[in-house]
Amino acid sequence: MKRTTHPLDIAAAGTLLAALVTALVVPPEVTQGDLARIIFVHVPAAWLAYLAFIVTLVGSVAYLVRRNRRWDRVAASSAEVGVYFTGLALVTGSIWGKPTWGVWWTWDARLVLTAVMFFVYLGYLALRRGITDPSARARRSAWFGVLAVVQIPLVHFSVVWWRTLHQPPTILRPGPMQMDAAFRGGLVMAVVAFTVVYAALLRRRIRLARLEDALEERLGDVDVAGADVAAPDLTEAFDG
Amino acid sequence: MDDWGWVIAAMAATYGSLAAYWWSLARRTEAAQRRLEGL
Repeated sequence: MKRTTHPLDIAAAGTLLAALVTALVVPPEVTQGDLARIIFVHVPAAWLAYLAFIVTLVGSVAYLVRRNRRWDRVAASSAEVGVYFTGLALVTGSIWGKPTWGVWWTWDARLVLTAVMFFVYLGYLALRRGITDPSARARRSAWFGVLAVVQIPLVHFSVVWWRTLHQPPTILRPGPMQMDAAFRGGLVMAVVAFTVVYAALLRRRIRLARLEDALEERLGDVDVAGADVAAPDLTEAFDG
Repeated sequence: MDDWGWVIAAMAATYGSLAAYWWSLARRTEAAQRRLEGL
């Protein structure tokens, strides 16, 4: 099998390495000290959870309009990558929470809604595994993908709408970022790097989805051909 | 554990899980390709 490295994979590896070095060399933050470096992985993970599920929405709507399986593959692939990044945001947030708040987990609106979003999209992936007919699977999961996206504004604005322990949004907030220039530069760098990683993961996952679809189609053909050849006529046996 | 310990734990969780997910996608793709070629 011929192995080739896609330019997107090289860009992902390069930017990720640069983001790691930046996260480790920027000066410590004035109030949180070195702990604030966790922001360089936590914020990009949370951002990519949003982006991935928005791409799932776009793929789902496009499928419902066009009925082209390509869009179903985009939606499903992005959902899987999004579940990974949501899980990562929960884990890195928990690692930051323990030394800062003194607990790994608290029943805070932002944390709870993020966990709910994680499980809802796990449900999306489970739904897909539970439906064997490709058209029904694509149609039902597309509707799921459209409805589930309502959670994104709920998660994002939970820190504004409710009194929570979690700090207000770092990015995607009204007004300028209240952050030192070095930290801001590092954070932007990390967000860009992880977005490139998301694109590389999505490309690979879509490629896998294409193979899975082809496999499903071929296996379907084999089943149909087998039925034609092997189905015995048992009427006489039972008549007797 | 001091602050750097928590930072390293978060970085290890991030980069380790990314590598694991990347690897799993590669293995799943290879397995699907092999099955398709075998049909």
